[in-house]
Amino acid sequence: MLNFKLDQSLQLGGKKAIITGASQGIGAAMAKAFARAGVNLVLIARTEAKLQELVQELQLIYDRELQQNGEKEPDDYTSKLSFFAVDLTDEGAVKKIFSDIATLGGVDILINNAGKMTPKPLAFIKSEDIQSQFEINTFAVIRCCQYASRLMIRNGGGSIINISSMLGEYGQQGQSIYSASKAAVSGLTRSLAQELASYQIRVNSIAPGIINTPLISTLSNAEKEQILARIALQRLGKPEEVANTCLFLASDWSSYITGQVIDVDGGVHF
Amino acid sequence: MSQSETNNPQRLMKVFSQSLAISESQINDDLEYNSIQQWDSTAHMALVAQLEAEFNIMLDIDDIIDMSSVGKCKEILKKYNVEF
Ligand SMILES: NC(=O)c1ccc[n+]([C@@H]2O[C@H](COP(=O)([O-])OP(=O)(O)OC[C@H]3O[C@@H](n4cnc5c(N)ncnc54)[C@H](OP(=O)(O)O)[C@@H]3O)[C@@H](O)[C@H]2O)c1
Repeated sequence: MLNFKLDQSLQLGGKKAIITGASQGIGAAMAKAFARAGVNLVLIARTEAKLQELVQELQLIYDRELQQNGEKEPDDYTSKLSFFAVDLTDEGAVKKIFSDIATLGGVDILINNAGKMTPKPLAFIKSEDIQSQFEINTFAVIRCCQYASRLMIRNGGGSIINISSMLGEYGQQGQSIYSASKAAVSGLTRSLAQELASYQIRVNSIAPGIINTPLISTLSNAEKEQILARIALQRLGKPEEVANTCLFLASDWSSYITGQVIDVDGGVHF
Repeated sequence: MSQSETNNPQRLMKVFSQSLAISESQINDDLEYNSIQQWDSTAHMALVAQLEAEFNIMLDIDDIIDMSSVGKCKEILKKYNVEF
């Protein structure tokens, strides 16, 4: 088993994590943080080129950590790093991924991070806007939890981390559907925590505030200003700050925490 | 019939016995979901996980819901090329 000095105390080395929405933003930051902790990764998003680029970056991270520990670089990274370029709203594709992951030895950590935001005032919301946001932000999360939990039961337990949103907790003008789809994730988290506890599976959510990623490019400057005015730390969050919380929830450092929605929002006040 | 096919009834018996924590003598085709205290929704999930691991398959949600007895389970597994 790889023995990484950095982040070693988390004792995540050799564990296997699935990160959805890993091609950019918060998901990519998580992938790097987990690689530094020696975690074997399965990355999922639609854009193959971005995943490939990230995998190369992650190999360098592994190499660097191994060198620092005086360990030899592996000839082959396939057991440490794999990716699937798929649309998670495709139910058949999700089942296929999890069948493949089962043959690779299962999973210990699932991070449901893929998501999308399409802000619109209520009067302008079409059925397809509702469908498309719920499909990825909520329905795909439910399906991944279904498949991953079965693999975790085989392995004797695990940790599921769902990325919801501050907007799911507090709401925001023009964000009714996104907020509803994320509030559903909080409800899912609290219920699954109860249901899966007897299998030693912990389920928690992280509700990020406003984090500097491509996702927030859809927010107007006025919306950003409005949110910034409510942040105690008076700045946007960094993807790495969400990734660090995720490491904590994935590790045994949070072994007595389940069913929680943890705000990573710089102290938003309403 | 291959060696693994002849073993399938025993393998299935073992999975049921372990995941429901009951003795093999209690297991027959007529044993139904929720008919005994041990086969509740919690055990059903453990049963599904163990079936998938034992037979190297990934079950559809509809099949998990339909798996209402040991006999029905065998029928469903046949769809996944697990012969009895
Ligand atoms: N940034 C924020 O301020 C903020 C605040 C609160 C919550 N969040 C939540 O945090 C999560 C990550 O956000 P982010 O800011 O990093 O967003 P982002 O930069 O837009 O990244 C979203 C990720 O999800 C993937 N994705 C989207 N639709 C997908 C689909 N149908 N199938 C597979 N992958 C899909 C994208 O990859 P592809 O396009 O390659 O598929 C991308 O990797 C989201 O759930 C978001 O709602 C973000």
